[in-house]
Amino acid sequence: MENDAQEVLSAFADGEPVATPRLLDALTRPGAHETLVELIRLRSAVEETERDPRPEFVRRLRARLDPARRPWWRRGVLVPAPALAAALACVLAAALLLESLAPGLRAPQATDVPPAPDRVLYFEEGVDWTQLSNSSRRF
Amino acid sequence: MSVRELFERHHLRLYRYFVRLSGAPSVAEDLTQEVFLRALRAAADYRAQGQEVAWLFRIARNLWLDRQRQRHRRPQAVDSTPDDLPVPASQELGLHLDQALGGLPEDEREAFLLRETGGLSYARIAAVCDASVESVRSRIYRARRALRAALAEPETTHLKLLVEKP
Repeated sequence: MENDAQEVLSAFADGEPVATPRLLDALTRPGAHETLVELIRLRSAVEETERDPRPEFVRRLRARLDPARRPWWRRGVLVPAPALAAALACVLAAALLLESLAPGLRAPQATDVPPAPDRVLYFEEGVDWTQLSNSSRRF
Repeated sequence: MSVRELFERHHLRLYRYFVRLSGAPSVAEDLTQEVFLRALRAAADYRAQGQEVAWLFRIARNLWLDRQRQRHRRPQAVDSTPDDLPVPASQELGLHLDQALGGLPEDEREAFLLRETGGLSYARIAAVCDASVESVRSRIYRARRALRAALAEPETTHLKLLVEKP
């Protein structure tokens, strides 16, 4: 039996779509039945020799993947956008309320007016400084 | 669908896939666990609903390829350490089948296992392996032809024994 016909039967055994004329051609060739039987035997051999994981491994991993048993910061819970917006609005309202109740808590604002002096220093000519005639200054 | 639900549905297929690839149950456990932990981390970004199986097997395939690359860099790592873990239902047949699978080219073995152990359609295998459906069909056919030949050798004839047993 030719490889192409066998490949068609292989796909057919897997339930894959196969063009009807090609399938008809493959199925009516000598050896088609034996090929299909061999394919099913091979599948049976795979199934017969499958191995399963240890129950304790499955239990442990199942527990690891259980959202209720993981810390909240690792659960990856998505917060809905309206809830997030409401929470931000509450924080903003609380801040405004605090500001109105205790304005002194607010940080000082920037202004163009200089602050009033709390002391004044005077420097006397001839005592604290001297004007030189040759334009160079000496203190 | 949550990762926990994906685990309940698909962990067996993934474990068996890794056991066939590695031949070592302990390695299969490690890799299966890593698939689901990665899925858990990436679940929030996952959008392709209905493609979860292909997604999981794509993670599995990448993990396996990464592991193979690391092993090539560090050849002292060996999978064949004896495991104190469950043995195959038919140990001798399983051994010969694993040996025959080990002799296949990587792409054929991968496509065959994704089909037989993973239960994926050709289209999904093509998506997982970045190949065309036609290529997947050929790979699976070639793998089957080689496996049938290997298992039907006179000294083994496992395929016949399997079917003829009572």
